[in-house]
Amino acid sequence: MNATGRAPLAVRLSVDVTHDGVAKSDLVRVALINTSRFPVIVAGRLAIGYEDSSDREIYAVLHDRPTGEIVGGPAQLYHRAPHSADDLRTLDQGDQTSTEFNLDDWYTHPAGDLDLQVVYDPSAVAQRFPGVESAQVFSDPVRIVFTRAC
Amino acid sequence: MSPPHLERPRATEGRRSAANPRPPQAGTGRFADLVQLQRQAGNRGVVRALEHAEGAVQSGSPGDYIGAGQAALAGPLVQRRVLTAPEETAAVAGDRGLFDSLTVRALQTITGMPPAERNGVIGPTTVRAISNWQTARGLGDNGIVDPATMDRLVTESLANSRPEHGIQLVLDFFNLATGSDVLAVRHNAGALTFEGIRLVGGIPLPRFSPASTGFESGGLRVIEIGDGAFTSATTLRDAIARELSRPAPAAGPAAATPARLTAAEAGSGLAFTRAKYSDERSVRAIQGRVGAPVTGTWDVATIQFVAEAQSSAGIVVDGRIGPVTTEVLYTQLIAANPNAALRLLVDFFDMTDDGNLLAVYFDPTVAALASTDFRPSEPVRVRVGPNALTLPFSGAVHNIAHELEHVRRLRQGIVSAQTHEFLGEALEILSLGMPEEPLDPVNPTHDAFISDATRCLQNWNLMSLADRRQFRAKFVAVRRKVLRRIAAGTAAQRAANAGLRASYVAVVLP
Repeated sequence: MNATGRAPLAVRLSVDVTHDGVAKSDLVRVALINTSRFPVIVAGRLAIGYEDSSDREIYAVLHDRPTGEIVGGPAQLYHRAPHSADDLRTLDQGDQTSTEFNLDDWYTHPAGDLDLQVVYDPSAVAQRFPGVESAQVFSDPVRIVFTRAC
Repeated sequence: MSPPHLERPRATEGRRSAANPRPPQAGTGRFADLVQLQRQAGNRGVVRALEHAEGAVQSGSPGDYIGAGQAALAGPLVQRRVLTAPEETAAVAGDRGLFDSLTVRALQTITGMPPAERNGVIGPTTVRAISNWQTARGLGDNGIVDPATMDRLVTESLANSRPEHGIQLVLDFFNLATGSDVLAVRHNAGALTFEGIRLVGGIPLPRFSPASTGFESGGLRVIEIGDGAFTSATTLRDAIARELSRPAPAAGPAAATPARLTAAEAGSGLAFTRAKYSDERSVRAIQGRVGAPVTGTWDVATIQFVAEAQSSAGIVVDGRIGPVTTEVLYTQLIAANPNAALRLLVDFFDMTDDGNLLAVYFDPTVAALASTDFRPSEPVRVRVGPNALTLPFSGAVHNIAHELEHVRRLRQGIVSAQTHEFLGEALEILSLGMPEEPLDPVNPTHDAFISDATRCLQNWNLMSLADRRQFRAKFVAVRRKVLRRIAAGTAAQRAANAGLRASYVAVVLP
């Protein structure tokens, strides 16, 4: 799924949960995949941040499953250099690049039954480096049950 | 003196002790009667928690229910009582002798006091909060932090993702001395030290302690505490004490004291350096680096070693550790002794934290240049990541200064991330008392003036009107500096940054 329906990229998540969705770890693995037939230039650093923060290429969105309400918030004030040209990557058809982050380190969240989405948002990078595919891409939601708030 | 609405329930509820607590009353289906009772008693926090839990149950949200129950109460729900005036006085007197202001703020955070009331002072409000917190957990309810209360504070600090609060409480409660040769005592979930082999039923098994110590220049310690130490306050105390007692690696044979400076020059260098560096840990780090005997005290011999190091580095040889010598020493230390190098910066540039810093340390897991816990109104950590090790000196200074601005502003209770980032970038742009960063980065992974200016404006534009009004003068100073730096750049830099300049000029002040 992507924001525009036209982006040639997909974001896939992998989290370590039990069969009923309970989190065994807070590690989130993120893969950005070229699902088109053409090479795509991407912001390959894939640094985690927040929707309204700078110098980040991905951010997470947490929804409370029963209500659909967005929950959680930023856990860090971070300081990072801007994305550099050296970190741009060209993904050929079917290629992927990946990263991982610890959700509890980056986000506060309540306990309970949550949906996690990760958004790839290269818009700031695309402004500085023409040629970078600029569309936002949302992962499919992944269910995670947290037994305690963080 | 308790407010009247808090004194009423005392007559109806009577006194309880740890030996005779009320039975838990949560988890009995609908909470309406209990909510009513608590409302009458003036226990608004409990009412809110119950209503939240009730609402979550009714909306079929087990997560919220768990969250409300655990976050607000973290244990069986028990009726609270109000401390008598003599009890309150005794608790204030008892707790005041236990903790310093930073620790009190950690205590006020763990016990759930509202952010605006976390003032670092043990007073009636704090002991009431402690009493309520104790009661909710079936501990004694006298508001005095006793060993049983400490045990629970420590375990909950880890459970609530604030292990550094537990460490701070234990350091203070047990008077563990960490001032002279300890750079940081920090949490690292998996920290362990192999302590030998023991026989269990005749089978040799390895024995580990749940902590470890790394040593940096001058025998300075960085202590890491694993999750296994957080089972009780005494377990945590013992783990820290064990690490504090580990002997530092033996220093190599002392070299003869150089005689590069005259006695007068050495005396002058000593006076200058002593005025610049006041932290014993900085002295040790530098003594270790220049090969002087590590005493933790400035002396003429150390200054002679410093002069020798200045000569080797090709800088002015005067025994004075000013900005140039500090840069040389920092650069020599940073790769293998990152925490000692950070200490030099904080000390030399007099970076303050307004009593809100739990620890600043190098953390190889931090993906950013640096990160500060985003927790308004509570003590926080600053963690510096590996990317920061390659920063030029000016960038390294700015990196720490930026984070410590967050630490100070968090103490003030600022809750907007955009305002925090505006203020952090503004501090870098204005660069008072610090080396200036270059206009453009010298390396793609580095930060520079233009990236600071870009972020500063982005965050300014996202700030609330109230915050923009509050920090209007700061923005005006920033804009003046940005325009001046761009104007002083090369023709190419002026052209490249014309858009940023125009954006600053276009800002309409609130």
